[in-house]
Amino acid sequence: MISIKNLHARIEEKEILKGLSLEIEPGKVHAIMGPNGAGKSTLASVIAGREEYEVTEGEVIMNGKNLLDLEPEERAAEGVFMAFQYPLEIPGVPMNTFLRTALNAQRKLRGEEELDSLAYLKKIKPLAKTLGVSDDMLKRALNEGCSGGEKKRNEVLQMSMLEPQFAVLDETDSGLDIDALRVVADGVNALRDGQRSFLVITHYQRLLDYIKPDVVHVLAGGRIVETGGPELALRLEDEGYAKFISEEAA
Amino acid sequence: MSTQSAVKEVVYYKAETAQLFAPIIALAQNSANDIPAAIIDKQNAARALFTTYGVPYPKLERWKYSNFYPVLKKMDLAPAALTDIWRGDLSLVKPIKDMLAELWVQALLTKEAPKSDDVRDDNAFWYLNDIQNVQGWVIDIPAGANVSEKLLLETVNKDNTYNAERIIIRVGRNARLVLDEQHNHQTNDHRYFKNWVTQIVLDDNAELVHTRMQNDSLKAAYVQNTSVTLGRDARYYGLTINKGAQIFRNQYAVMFEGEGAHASIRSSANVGHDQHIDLTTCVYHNVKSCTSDQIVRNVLHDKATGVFQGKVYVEKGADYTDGSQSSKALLLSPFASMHAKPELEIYADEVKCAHGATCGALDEKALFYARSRGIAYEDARAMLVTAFLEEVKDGLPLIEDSE
Ligand SMILES: Nc1ncnc2c1ncn2[C@@H]1O[C@H](COP(=O)(O)OP(=O)(O)OP(=O)(O)O)[C@@H](O)[C@H]1O
Ligand SMILES: [Mg+2]
Repeated sequence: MISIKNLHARIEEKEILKGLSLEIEPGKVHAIMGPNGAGKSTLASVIAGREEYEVTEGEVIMNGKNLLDLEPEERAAEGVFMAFQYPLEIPGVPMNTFLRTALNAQRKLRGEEELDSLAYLKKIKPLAKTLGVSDDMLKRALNEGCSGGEKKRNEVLQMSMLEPQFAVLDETDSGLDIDALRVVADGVNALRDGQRSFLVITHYQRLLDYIKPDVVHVLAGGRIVETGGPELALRLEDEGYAKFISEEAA
Repeated sequence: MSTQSAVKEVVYYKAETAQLFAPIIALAQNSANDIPAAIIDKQNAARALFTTYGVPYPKLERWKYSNFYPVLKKMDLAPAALTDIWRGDLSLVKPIKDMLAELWVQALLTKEAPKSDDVRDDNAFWYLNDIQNVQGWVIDIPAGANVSEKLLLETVNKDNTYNAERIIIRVGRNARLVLDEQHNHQTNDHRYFKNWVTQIVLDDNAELVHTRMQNDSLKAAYVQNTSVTLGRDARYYGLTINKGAQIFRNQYAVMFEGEGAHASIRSSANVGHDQHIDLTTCVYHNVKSCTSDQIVRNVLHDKATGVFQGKVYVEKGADYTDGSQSSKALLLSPFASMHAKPELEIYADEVKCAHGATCGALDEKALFYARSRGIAYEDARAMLVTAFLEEVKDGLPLIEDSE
């Protein structure tokens, strides 16, 4: 169970999250939708531990621990994964080197045995193939010279390798063509095992056709302003966010 | 600074220099008499030039950032030659003293120091080396030879010594050599001054892969003057990896004399304390269709300083020249500094010359990205730093050692 309680976060004196609360049961997929600038990426970043954001109140509890007390790498070892809205390029570090280092760092922190390069390759090969990530891409510097869509696939590949307990996907669908969207959604669905939880941030109902959410939230003005089932996403598609924004302004 | 005090400073430097280097100047005057007259003349001329000009001082344009004087004056400079520094096929290396009958060796030993900007006092350290120009080694690779085993130079200099070494390398037509220099130290409080001159001649289609691991004592001063002349289609790949030295000046003069040749000058530094690492180059594209690249990557901690003064000179008519310079520095402390001055002087029409210099901190976003995947802060930092430094090896024909 992941439980976010009364989360307040600010950046550069500007309060973005204003008392956000949310609970995700093991194995469930929650979707978050909401207007631009509402604070969706801020929420994802705060969960992952980006230091620019100052959390002024609230907690994020997972496995009985407050994630906000942990360093980003400790959160990762605890099982948190964020797929970035804008994945970074890491010049000079091949994806394989990066990912194997990450995987082994997490295993080490958890007291598990490290994977040698053979075991690593055995694990990544079939996953990369399913996600359409080429060998060349694995050897190239991470995300360098990759298209937007290729970067998103790389994010999902990293997630599949790291097998997190709680994955936050920040607009992983944006930049993907229709076929890639299906491939990536299949990748996510393959990870659904009844235990792993997902928070899927998106602007488009289309993604939710492929990754069926259990719960849909609307985030506006730094708070969850409405929660419903998958039908809420369909309704938003028709109505837009005007209603929530005017409520916020009021 | 007023002209008056500038003059005072220069006079001061010169007087102090004469005192500091007195043992070396005296020693050279007693040198053996089985040396050809032309070379003795050269030594005498060099002695006069060095006595006139002294240790280069910061008023000189090309020495603005690198001042050796404060480091040298703490030293007791007893002259010392090196022995037993070569590993590999030792039949390739001969003492200069045994090669003085060779006219091409004589020609190199008596050659003028390469000038930058028409000023003579720029080259004082070369003159200082000229005084003892028969102390060193000749490596002569015959035409067509492909030396499969790399030649290794290993040096550990002693405390309170001055060492002028001269290394002359000729790689014959279609021949190839890999030379690896390992500059080590015994302890980090050893003070010594190495003032080396390396003269490299590459005949048509010859190749030299020349790597240097500079891991000198943190109290050492090192000046390395290297001149490279390249014949048609010749290739020079030079890589220096800097870890040590209190102050190091790595100075290159590269002359293209045949078309289609290529030169790479690469330098990385991962240094801290009050270390000072300077790469100063002059690449002369005198003929058509040659390419050169200069890549500098410095990671500077503590109060370390990096200097890159790179120059690409393209002679009139040297069309289809491609000469690039790229300097990047990571400043990992508020007290670290980098001075980068890539320069171009172009008199030809059809030329491609890219140059860039950047300076900054470690990319915090990339650091967070790595940490969010589970890589600990220090490891993420080390990973990004290593990747940054490795860029100097891009495209070089290196055989990696398994460490
Ligand atoms: N580094 C920053 N400095 C100042 N303001 C910031 C910074 N990062 C985000 N913000 C502001 O915080 C607010 C929330 O941004 P956030 O990225 O969380 O929105 P979002 O809901 O993810 O939007 P989108 O749908 O466009 O991705 C925005 O008003 C944004 O301008
Ligand atoms: Mg966003």
